[in-house]
Amino acid sequence: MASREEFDWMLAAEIPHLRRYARTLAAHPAEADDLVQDCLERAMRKWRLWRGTARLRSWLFRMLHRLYLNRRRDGRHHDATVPLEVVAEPTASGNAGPAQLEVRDTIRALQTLPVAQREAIVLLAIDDLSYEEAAWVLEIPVGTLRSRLSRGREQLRALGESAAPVSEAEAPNLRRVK
Amino acid sequence: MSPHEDGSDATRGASVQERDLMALADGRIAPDSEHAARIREYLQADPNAAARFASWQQQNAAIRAHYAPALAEPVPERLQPETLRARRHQAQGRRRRLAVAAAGAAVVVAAVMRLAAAPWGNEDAALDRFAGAVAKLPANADTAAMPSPVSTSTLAARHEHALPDLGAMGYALKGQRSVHAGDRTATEARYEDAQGRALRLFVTEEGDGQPPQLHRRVENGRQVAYWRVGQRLYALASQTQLQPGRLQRIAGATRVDRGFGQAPSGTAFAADQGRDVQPPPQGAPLVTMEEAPARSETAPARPASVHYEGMVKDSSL
Repeated sequence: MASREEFDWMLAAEIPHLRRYARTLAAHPAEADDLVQDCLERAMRKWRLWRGTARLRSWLFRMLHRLYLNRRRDGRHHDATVPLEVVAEPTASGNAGPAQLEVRDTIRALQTLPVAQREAIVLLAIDDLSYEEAAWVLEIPVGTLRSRLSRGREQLRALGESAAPVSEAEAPNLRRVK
Repeated sequence: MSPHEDGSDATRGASVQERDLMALADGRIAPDSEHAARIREYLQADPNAAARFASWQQQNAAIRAHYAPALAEPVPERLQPETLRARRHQAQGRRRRLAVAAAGAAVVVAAVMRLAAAPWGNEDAALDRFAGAVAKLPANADTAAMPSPVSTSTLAARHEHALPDLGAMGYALKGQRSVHAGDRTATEARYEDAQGRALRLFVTEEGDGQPPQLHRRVENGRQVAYWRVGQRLYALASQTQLQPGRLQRIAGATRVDRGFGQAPSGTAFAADQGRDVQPPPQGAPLVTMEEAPARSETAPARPASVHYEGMVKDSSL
């Protein structure tokens, strides 16, 4: 088992990943960092429980996700979705390349998905967790994870295709449906 | 159609399934592996699958790009493990101090509750003994047996200024004398109300002063309220049964009226006496029950002296 100093050292390396994952769950960066802080404090309290059998990142992600669920249940989490205002808008000068537009459209379309599907898609996209690890983080069976991924991605694709024929100038902004 | 991993693609090829496409799109299959090559071959043969595959890759890339800046941001100080450890250490120290404070508070609360559970309890042993001795005195003292109105005893004279004015409570001082209560010599002052109901107040002195605190003692059905003012010990006994709390209120009045035993403004107690014997004001909350039989006009003849059981004969009587 790692010593406390070694654990802290490993923990420090995971903080950027934790922050990024928290950003996918929390409405605002400050709220995401609060979530990360809670997670780190809990990890420091329970560091002896981490046996090294699971990857530290998945152990931390699972802890973070559980904290997020607790906050959402207690009403301390204001919004589980990424607000549209957080999604980067292309600049008016036309500097925005297609990639930025794609990002914007994808993220906006993502907001229309059910939370469970969105969580699965984003978790798999942002990090290199295996399906088994991702399922463990979200505390669901692997089959359920794959099912959510498949349905969610198809829905995203359908949204993308329906928006594609419209020219950029004429395209109406997607609205979030709650 | 929304393909599902469990079967929808099984018909397209035995070797490549939906989950394989997804795994390759998610980067979970090494791109240079044989498995990846087989999937790519499959995709070349199936444009629909290829479109889906490309769409998933694009989605993943967009999501990664959107959240990538968070990975590059510097970690704020408050999230650094050292900071969190230090804060945790401080919090533990605070909790430890709080626990100690809580334990101390619990002891104080327990002590207070113990006192509250015995509101008349008294840690003053000397005062307790004095009250015990007063409670044992017989109740047959009569004003008629006292040299009236004021004793000439040296001790009684010393306590003149310590005798309270109970006029507000409807009692007037009728006389005083020196008596032995236990191992002490005390001044006994007798008060009576308009109906002739009597109270006796015993005052004595001893060494160290204590803060004034009213106590009560009941022995053989007789109540004694007692307290200490500095070196002076007081014990107030009723000759008769009083309403609950009545003796306490009277005792409280003595403490208030006399400023806890402070000398009155007048120099001579005899001068106060006139004020003391004023009848109680109309409508004053006097005793409503019969506290003592009114003195009969045919009272027994005044004895030459009074001998209390357990007391030596007091020469002043």
